[in-house]
This record gives sequence, structure tokens and C-alpha cells, in this order.
Amino acid sequence: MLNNNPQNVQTVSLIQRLKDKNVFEQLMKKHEKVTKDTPKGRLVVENPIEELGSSIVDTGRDVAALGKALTKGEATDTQLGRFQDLGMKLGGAAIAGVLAGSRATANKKLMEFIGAGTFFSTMALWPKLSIDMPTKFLYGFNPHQKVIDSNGDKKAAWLVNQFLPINDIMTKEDVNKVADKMGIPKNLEEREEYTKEKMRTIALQDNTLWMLSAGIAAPTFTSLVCNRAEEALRVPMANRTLKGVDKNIPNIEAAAKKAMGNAEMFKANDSVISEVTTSLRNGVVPEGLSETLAKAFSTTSNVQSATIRNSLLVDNSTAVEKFVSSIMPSQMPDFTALAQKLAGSEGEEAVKQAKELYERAYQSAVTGNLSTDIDTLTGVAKGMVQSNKALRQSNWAKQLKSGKLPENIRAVGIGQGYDKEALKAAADKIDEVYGAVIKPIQAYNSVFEGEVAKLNGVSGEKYASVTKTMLDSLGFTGEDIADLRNSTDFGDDLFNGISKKVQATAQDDKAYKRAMEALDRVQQKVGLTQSASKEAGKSTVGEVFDRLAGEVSSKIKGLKEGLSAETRASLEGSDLGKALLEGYSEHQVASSKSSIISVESMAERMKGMLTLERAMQDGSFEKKLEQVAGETGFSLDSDSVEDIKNLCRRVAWGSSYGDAMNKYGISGNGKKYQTVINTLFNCTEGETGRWQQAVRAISAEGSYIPDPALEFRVQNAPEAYAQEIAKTHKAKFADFGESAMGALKKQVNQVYNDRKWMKVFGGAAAALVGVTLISQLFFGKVRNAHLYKVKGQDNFQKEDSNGNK
Amino acid sequence: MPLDKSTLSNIPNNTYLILPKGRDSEDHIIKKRFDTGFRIMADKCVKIPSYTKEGMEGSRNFNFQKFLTLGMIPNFIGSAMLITISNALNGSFGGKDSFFAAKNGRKMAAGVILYALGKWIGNKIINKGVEATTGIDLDMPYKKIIHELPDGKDNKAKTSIEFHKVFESSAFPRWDLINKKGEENGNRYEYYDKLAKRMGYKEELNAPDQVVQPKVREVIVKATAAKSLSPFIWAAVGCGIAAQEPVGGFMKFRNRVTFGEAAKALPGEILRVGKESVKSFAKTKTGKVLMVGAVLSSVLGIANSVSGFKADKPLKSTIDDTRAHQEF
Repeated sequence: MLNNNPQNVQTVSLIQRLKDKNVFEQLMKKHEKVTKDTPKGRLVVENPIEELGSSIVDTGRDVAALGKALTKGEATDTQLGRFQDLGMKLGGAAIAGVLAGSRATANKKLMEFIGAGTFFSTMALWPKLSIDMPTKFLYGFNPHQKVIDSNGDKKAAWLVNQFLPINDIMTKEDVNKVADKMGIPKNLEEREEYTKEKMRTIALQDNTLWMLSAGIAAPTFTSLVCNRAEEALRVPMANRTLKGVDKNIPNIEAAAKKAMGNAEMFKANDSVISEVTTSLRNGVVPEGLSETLAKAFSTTSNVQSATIRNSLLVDNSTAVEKFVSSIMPSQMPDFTALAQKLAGSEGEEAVKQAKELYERAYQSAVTGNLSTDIDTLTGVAKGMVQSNKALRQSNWAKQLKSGKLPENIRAVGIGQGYDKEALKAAADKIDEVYGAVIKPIQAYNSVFEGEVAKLNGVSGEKYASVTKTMLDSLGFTGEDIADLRNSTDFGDDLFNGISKKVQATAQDDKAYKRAMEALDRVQQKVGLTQSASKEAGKSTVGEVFDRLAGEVSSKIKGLKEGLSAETRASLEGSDLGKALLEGYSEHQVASSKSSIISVESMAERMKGMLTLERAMQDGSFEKKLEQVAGETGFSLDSDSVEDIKNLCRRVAWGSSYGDAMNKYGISGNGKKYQTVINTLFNCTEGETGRWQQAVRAISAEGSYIPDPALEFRVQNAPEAYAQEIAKTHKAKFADFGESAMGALKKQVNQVYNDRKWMKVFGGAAAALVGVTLISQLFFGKVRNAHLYKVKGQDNFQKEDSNGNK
Repeated sequence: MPLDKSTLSNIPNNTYLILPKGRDSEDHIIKKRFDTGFRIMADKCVKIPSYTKEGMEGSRNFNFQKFLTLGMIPNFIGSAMLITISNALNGSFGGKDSFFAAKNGRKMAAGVILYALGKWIGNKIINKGVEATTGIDLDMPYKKIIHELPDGKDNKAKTSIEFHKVFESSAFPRWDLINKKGEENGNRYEYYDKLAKRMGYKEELNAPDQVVQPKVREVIVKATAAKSLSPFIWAAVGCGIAAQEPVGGFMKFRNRVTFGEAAKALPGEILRVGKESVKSFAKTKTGKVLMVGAVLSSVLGIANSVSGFKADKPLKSTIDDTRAHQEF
């Protein structure tokens, strides 16, 4: 037994030791025999262009490798890692696509893709510019040097800190070159090893710095870049969209046909119409026929558009009611069954009376242009009962007292008495009108609104680029803007601030010329004025709108061809019929157009501000004022000329189109203006029409404020239209149609906010760059420097060991 | 000192690392509970500062796992930064500008969160799907014990712990740990037997590891490849939902009277906005395409990953003598 005997334990131990010795010796022998393989890896040395090229090639390879991985299940771990980057980029493109879908203008859509692209570019460029380049400059090597390892995978040389293929790939000369750059003493033992260790240290520190900074750098720089890019792309993209809309005009019909095929859009209306006609064909007149049809026949848009809410074809329920009464059978319905039910218990005579009553009620409803449904008839009949003593006393008539029949009797009345054939014909007419006219108009409207929304976007983008220059051309500095923005009485301070600027500009010949030229250049640049655009061979937004509206209008006019003569006749006199004859009416078009062309006139109004101010200074304004006052019969009080001037400024600068027509023009519009108006222009109460004329004379017909939209309204607007504008002008002018002053106010806000945002995040970006660059100065302390020796000395760089000085 | 290897006595004493005995002295698979993934994540987050320190010092103990952990920083900071950039200054823009900026800010914030959520869901679905069909848990965690090197003059070697996944590498899955776990249960081939059964082998195989291992590798590669596509479509769905109008109208937390009230109203608000946004996104064409695409990518991803897994015909395997012994 060997167990537990100390002697034996020793024997076992000896055997074990001999075995160990054997293994050890074998190992050492093998070590001598086996030599290291020559590494198959190599450095990737490329200039930036080659790098870009190979990144594209690599992406292609990744795609191929991904295909192989998915089909055959073969890929290296490095490849699997790269697939994630590939997926991230594809996902980024998909997200940009999704977000672009929810953006209104072409510029904003494009910005989504630019944003995604910039984000990935920043991610790639940030380490290159802020880490690789400074490290190369300071220490003589690129910490993200690419290598192809012996496995054939391309990777960053120092990515895996504990596995550095580059150590075997770099030649002695390469390493020594870096060592020279780093200033490592030539007489250091194991100089190359030390240099490699130092490179590893720096590369690791760089990688860590990269991870710390990338999260701040990528979003911040992306926002900064996109902020600038969006500004630069505004006008070109808007012009592109404009061109697209213009080019698309001939295809409107096809687009409308396509929209008609959109089952989703017409689903609700289709089912309403089919319910109504089915019911009519079954001989039952549906309750509230007119109201139901009016909803389904509504030619206001089915598509919600944020900026255009005016319906171009207003067709109210009265019109549909007329239509309904014209298609419904005109012969006297048979009320026998109803009368039986109503008065049957009281004998033949009572039934006869009841029948007569309803027949009379029917006649009176038809003459009175009322609906002939059972409830209306009962209402009329009730009135007749009340005015007839004999009827009032009969028992059955008491059931009419409430103006409504008991439900069981009423049920008989619904659909009673109409000629079934006539009802079928009515149903056919409804189908015909809906299919041949209403549906196409709804489709045209939705297409039209889609295009108008695009034009609105174009206006908006151009607007933004014009007002910016307007603020610049008036000589506003950053301080002015901050002062105005932070003032407590923004409106007045802004007015005074702009007054001062405009006056100063108008006084100084040079400044005046410069500002006018700047505004001219803006107009040229964005193609706002007609002359400028004609030179460039482009159309203005307004011109494109006119063509678009004309095309759609003529298509709608053509729809009547699809109707039978009889049906066409039954539509006569209604708004719908009018629309079919005339297309979009002029003022319907104008109200849609106002928000679009207001931008076109914006720069002109800015110029007008300066021209007006200049005219006030050289006296020509006063002459004009005297002339207008003479014509309108005002006596000008010389003391208040300054006040009049100021008021004119307010009107010219501060009022929107609607204001000029309403706020200053309508009597009873606040005592203040009334008093000012009466004082200034010596009007008696009720004579404010003169004031209106005066405002028009100065601001529209005069040369100070050339304003096509205002001119249009002055020429075409009857009082009723002026009032219509008053109702909706807030909504209409909320975004675009604002005054020069309003535009400047917005711009002051915008510029201030931009600057503020830029200050904070631009500052953050600058700070990040600073910290990233400076921290690299302190990199490269080798923690195990105490292990290296300079020839003939004990130690090397005491202060370097473990980072202790 | 050059080593004199001629005599045994010259082998220096105590050159072997003495390790404490016990389970935690070597790598081992840990049992998965419902919160294991969360705890591993938390462990990583907690360790980020010390990893950062090591990285900034250029420590030689800084391994790739630590680098990957630091790789989470750009995700966290970048997400926070995106939210900050589009939200921090909105209050100071004034009036209507503030209102619209805040609307977009909320969408951006929701986009960042839903992007992450979408990616997580996309990954989870494939992992769960693969596990349900093959029995391979691609997330199977193990605890890695690392005996670090002394670094710097006065630095002592220490032992650190990391959490990895057994199948995180397709080239080198940790078969050794699987074998070890089997041995602890008395059957070294326990895991392979289980998988072989799932593959369709009715009888126990002689060398199940030889049959199972290449199949598992294939599943890992295919699933990882699928996971580099599908989750990003899910993320795009998340971003699309976040871009919908209802998100812009999400309640202002500070507008509530008390914090408690606000916190109480929050889940309902999230549910309402979430529901409305999903509905509104589903109405758009892109929304439909993406939602269907996301589901389809998951289904196809799983189907493709497991497509080669089933045994061609349930045969009893023999030991392949030509292949070298492959254990680690």
C-alpha cells in the first residue's frame, strides 16, 4: 500500500516531479525548434481620397459578407461587428425617410437626409480631426492606423488593447521614426519595445478620449452644421419645389383621377350616398335628406392643410336643399295611409279631413320652398290646425299639438305617398351628380390644396430668407437685437427702434442706396419680383399659383359635360351649378392666393418703408398729403402733420392687408382710431369712408407702398368682401401675410433665438474641441517606465513610472 | 537573468499563481433570472468610471470588453445631448417660438427613447425566437474572473469580474464552460444532448458536441447578422411613432400642481399619447410599410437563423476521427 506512508508520498512526489521535468524539457525543445510564423498582416497606408474609396469598397464587401452570413451562416467576429455599423447606417437612412415623410417642405425633407448623413459623417470625422491629427502631430503616429491582420480582417491597429497585431507588422525603422518624434533617448535599452508601449498607451488614451467626447461631438456638430445648411439650401430648394409644381400643372387631371381612386378618402361619403340611394330606391325617403347630402356633397377639402382652410367652393346646405327639392317628385304625395293611421278611429270624415290637411301643408311647404319631409309637414299642419277652430276641436288633430307626430304614426308618414318611380329617378340623379361632379371636385380640391400647400411652403422658405436680409439691410446689430428682444415693451420699443433705423438710413444717401440695393439683391436672389424672375427664366410663386388655379378651374368647368341636360338644369341657381359654370370664382382664388403672394410683396413693402421715410424728409410726402386732403375734402392742421406722418408710418409699416381695409377703415372700430381719424382728417362721424380712401391713396395707389394684394382688393373689393376679410384675417395673416413690422418683430425674435442657441451650443462645441486637444498634450506616460533602462544607468525617467513625479 | 533549464532545481519556486479555491476563482455560467440582464447592465454602468480611469491611464489591463463598455458612453451622452439640444433653451425663446420648439423638442426626446426601445425589442424578439425554436439562449451569461497584471510600479495585481455571453463570439463560443456546467450535473454532454434532441435526433448521440457545435455556430452567425438589420427597422418604427403630432402635445410635467399628481398622471398620459401616435403612424403609408417590415424582418430573421438547425435525417452519429480534438 502506497497510501499515507510519508515515504510513499515522497515517491509519488518524485514521480510527479520527474514527469513535470519531462514535460518541461519537451516544451523547451519544441520551443527551440518551432519558429514564429511571418505575420501575413500589413499596414493600410492610404491618403484621404483612397480612404474614402476603400470605405465605399469595404461597405460593399460588408454587404456581400452579410449576404453570406445570412445564407450560409459564415462570418468572422470582426465582420459580425461591422454588420452593426452597416445596419446603423441603413437604419439611419430609413429613419430619415420616415421623418422626411412628415415634413412639409422639400427643404425640410432634404434636411432629414442631410441630418442623418451629417451625423454619420461627424461620427467618422470627429476622431480623425480632433484626435488622430493632433496625435500624429504631437507623437508621430496615427492612433487609428488601419491594419489588415493575418486573418484578413481590416481593423484599427490599437482597437484591442491586449492584442496588437501592429506590433508584429511595424518595422524597426517605422518604430524608431516614431521614437525620434517622441524624443525617446537613442541609448535606451529596448528602445523599440518602450516606443511600442508608449504608442499603446497613447492609443488607448486616445480611444478613451474618443468615447468620452463622441457623444457630445456628434449631436452638437450635426446640429451646428445642419443649422447652417438649412439656411443655405432654403432658396434653391424652394425654387426647385416651385419648378416642380409648375411642371406638374398639366398632370393635374391625372392626379385628380388618381385621387378619385383613393378608396380611403371617399369611404365615408360613398357609404352615405349608397345608404341614401338604396333607401330611396326602396321607396323610403331618408330622414334629414338635405343635411345628409349636404355633408357628403361638401366640396371643402377632405385633406387637412395647415395653412389653407378657405374652402374654394363653398356649397352650403341651402344649395343642396334646393337641389333636393328640385329632384324630388313634384306631384302631390298620397297621404291616405297616414290619415288612416292618424284619424282612422274617428270615422271616414276625420280621415278625409286629415288627408286634406296634409295635402294643404304639402302645397304650402312647396310654395314656401320648405322641405317636404314628414316633420316639416307636421309642423306646417300644426300651424293650420291652430288657425282653424273646427280642426282645433277634433280629437285626432290634438296629436299634432306638439308639432311632432307620435312615433308609430310618424313611421307611416315617412316615405308615404311618394311615387316609387320618381324616387328611383331621384336616387339616380343623386348618383349621377355625386359620381360625375361632386367626387371629381373633391378630388380636384384635394390635389389643388396639396399643391397650394407646397406653394405656401415655398413662400415660407423664401420669406425666411428675405426678412433676414431686411434686418441686416436696416443696419441692426446683434446688440440692437438683444436690446429689442429683452425690452419689456417689445411692440413700442421695436417701433421706435425701427423708426430710428429707417430714418437714419433714409437720411444718409449712401446708406439708403446700400439698403435699397441689398433689398434688390434679395429679390433677384429669390426671384420674387416679376422682372427679376423673367430675366432668370423662372416664374414667381404667384404666377405659378395663377396657372395652377386656372387649370383646376377649367377642369372643374369641364365637369358639367358629364351631366345630362336634365340634371344640369336641376343644379342651376345653386353654388354648385355656378362653380360648374365658372370654376373657382375670382375672389375665392384671391383669398387663397393672398397668403402666397404676400411674401412676394414683402421686400417691396420694406423698400416702401424707406421710400416713404425719404419722401417725408424731402417734402414730397407733404405735397401728396395736401393733394389727397384736398381731393377728399380735409383741412390739414399743420400742427398735427408730424402725428399724421407717424400714423402713416404705423399704417404703412405696422398694418397687415386686412388692417388697412378694416382696422382703420371700419366705423365703430374703437374710439381711439375714430378720434385720430376724425382729428387728423377732420371727418365728421360716419365719414370714415374718406379715411379709407386716404389710406388707399397713400398706401396703395401712391408709390410708397406698392402692394399688389392690396391693390387687387381695392379694385375688386365690395364692402361685403372687406367684412369677410375682417372675419378671418387673423388666421389668414398669421403666418405670412403680416406687416413689415410684424415680419421684423418675428425676425428679431428668430435672430435672437438663433444667436442664443448658437452661443450655448457653439460654445459647448468649442469647449469640447479645446478640452480634447489640450488633454492630448498630457498623454503618453508609460506606467511601467521603471522597467526600462538607459544604457549605463540604473533607471529611466523616474518621473514617468506610475505617473508619479 | 537567463533561465538555466538544464536542471530541474533551477525552476524558480512559487512561479505558479496561487488561486483561492472555490467557484468564483474561475469562469462559470451563471443562472439566469428575470433581472439578470438588467443587473449585468447595471454592473457595467457602475464600472464605467473605473474603466474610464484605466483607459485614461493607458493601463495594460484595459481589455476589449472594457472598451466595449466605454462604447456605451456615446450612446448615453449622445442621447442626452440630442434631447438637450432640442429642449434646453426652448423656454427662453418666448411665446409662439417656445411653443413650437417645445413641440419638436418633445418629439426629439421621444425619438431618442423610442429608437433605443425599438432596437432593444428587435434584438429581444430574435433572441427569444431563436431560443424558443432551437433551445439556444444567445444571451446565456457567464461570469468571467480576470486575474489582472500588476501595472505600474506600486500597483498590485487584482482580480476583477466581468459578465460576458457564452455565445458572444461565433469563432470561440465558450464550450468549455458549457462542458463544465454539464460535468457539475454529471453529464458533460448534457447541453449537446438537449440540443441534439431539439435538432431531431431521437436517440442519444455518441458525440453530440461534434454535431451540435457547428450548428450552434451557424445559428450565432445568422442570428447576429439578422440582428444587425431587424432592430434598426424597429428603431425606425420607434422614430416614426415619435414624430407624430400627439407626441408634440405630451403633457408638461411642471404644469401639474404637485410632483405626486404629475407622477400619477404620467402613465395614463404615456398610454394615451402612445396609443394615438401609433394609430396616427399606422395611417401613413411609410408607417404601414415599416410596421409590417419590422414584424416581417423579425419573423424572417428567426426563420433564417434556425433554418439549418434541424437534422437532415435523425441518424446516430459516429465519432469523426479525422477531426482534431477541439476543447478549450
